[in-house]
Amino acid sequence: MKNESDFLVLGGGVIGSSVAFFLSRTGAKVTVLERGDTAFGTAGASGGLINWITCAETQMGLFMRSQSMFEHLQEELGADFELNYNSYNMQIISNEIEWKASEQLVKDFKLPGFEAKLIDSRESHQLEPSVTDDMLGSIYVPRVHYLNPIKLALAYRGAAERAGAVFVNGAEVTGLTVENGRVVGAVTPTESYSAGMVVNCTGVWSDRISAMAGVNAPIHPIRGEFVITEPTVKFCNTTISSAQYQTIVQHPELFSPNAIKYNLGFSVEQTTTGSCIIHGTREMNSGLDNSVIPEVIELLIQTACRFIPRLGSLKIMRTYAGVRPGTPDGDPYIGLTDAVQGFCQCCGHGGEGIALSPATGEAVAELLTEGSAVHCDISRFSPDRPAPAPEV
Amino acid sequence: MSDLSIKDHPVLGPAPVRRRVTVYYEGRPVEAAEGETVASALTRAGIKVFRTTEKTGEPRGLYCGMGRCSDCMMVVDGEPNVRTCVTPVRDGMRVEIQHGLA
Repeated sequence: MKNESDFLVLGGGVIGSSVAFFLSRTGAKVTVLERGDTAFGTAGASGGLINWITCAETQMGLFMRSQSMFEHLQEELGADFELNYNSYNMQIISNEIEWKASEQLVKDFKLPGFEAKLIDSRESHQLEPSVTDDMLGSIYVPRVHYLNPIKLALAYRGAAERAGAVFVNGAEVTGLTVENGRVVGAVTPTESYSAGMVVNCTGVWSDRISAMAGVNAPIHPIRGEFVITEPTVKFCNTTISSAQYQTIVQHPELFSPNAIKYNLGFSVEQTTTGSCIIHGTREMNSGLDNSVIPEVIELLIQTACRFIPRLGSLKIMRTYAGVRPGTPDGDPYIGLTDAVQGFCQCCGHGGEGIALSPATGEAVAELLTEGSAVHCDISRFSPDRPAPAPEV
Repeated sequence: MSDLSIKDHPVLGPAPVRRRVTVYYEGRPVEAAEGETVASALTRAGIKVFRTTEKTGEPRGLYCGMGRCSDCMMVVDGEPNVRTCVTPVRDGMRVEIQHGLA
């Protein structure tokens, strides 16, 4: 029958494409509906940094599984997504307050084999000559990786297609077909699709799909802005950030109102083409609007030039913003729900979607084809978990 | 070297007389008229190679002539990625071919 599959994956971002790959690898018939094109939404407006030190403790299982999968993922998917595996991240410390907070962070966060350390200004400069002199030192975070998120999504998609998955672009889901308390398919303005199981991977738009299934799964979008410079010779050896993401929360008096409003952090990566990606803002509950706010770009540029003066001589090629799918408790929704049959949630990964994509896809495929996730315990991400108490 | 400039335009009339300055292309003096762009001066002197591409090292030169395409980027007085088609000449300016990324 036309448009009939075992699994209907909604959303062709990095999560949907990963889920499609891991499901189709089992021999299942998979169709992916995407309203735009692959990586059209959040995956197309993301930084590619995979950093354990900023990952929530609750997601560490998925994170660690993902990071070990990443090591050979390019070979497995048969595609190059510009993976820089086992690099490091340098987080610039500007003042004593940040130094103290960073000392605490490094002390608190000890995983075997994952040990960050504070290094002084001299050592920081030896590693990264491009960073400012106006610094106390930095947090040296080893075992950090970075990649091109769009190419990652395309890599999952390519491998999924070779395994038989069908990707339909321009297919915006306008409704779900529900029969006797079971989701049995989805409709777009022109077609209808049926499947044994519908998987909701629509990220920032997933609450609308959840509502169509009668499921309440709130999404709190978090906007971030990006600046892309002209290509230049390699001068960043790795990803450089600032430790101010800690102080801006603990000591807001040190920052301007706009820096606080947009939760100004700083991160720069130089891609394999030589362009630099400057980002680091997190505007909570921003709504879905992904238009660029000029004052945020200005803040980012000022911050970037302060930490890496050389960036000031580069021209800006383009700017863009993206929204990430935050949730009330900060954890994604992954798994089946008691509310309705035939419907699996896999959304709400916040700013960790790229980093958690391999283990997420694997876990969902295991859950849906073998009955439970084998490599990771995903029970805490159940869509049926109690909602957090509202903040006072 | 031949001078490709238009001395007497059928519509605009004779070219105005402008002060002559000298720029140095790869160390070689090139005469230029004050107020014109680097790309204009080089083109008039018959120079076509402004940069070489990163991957294959192929030569590139003046293309769009209006600051968009980045094919005319050169190293000017030590500063890389200068779009010479929108950069006026200055006496004594040193203009170098930009090889790949700079």
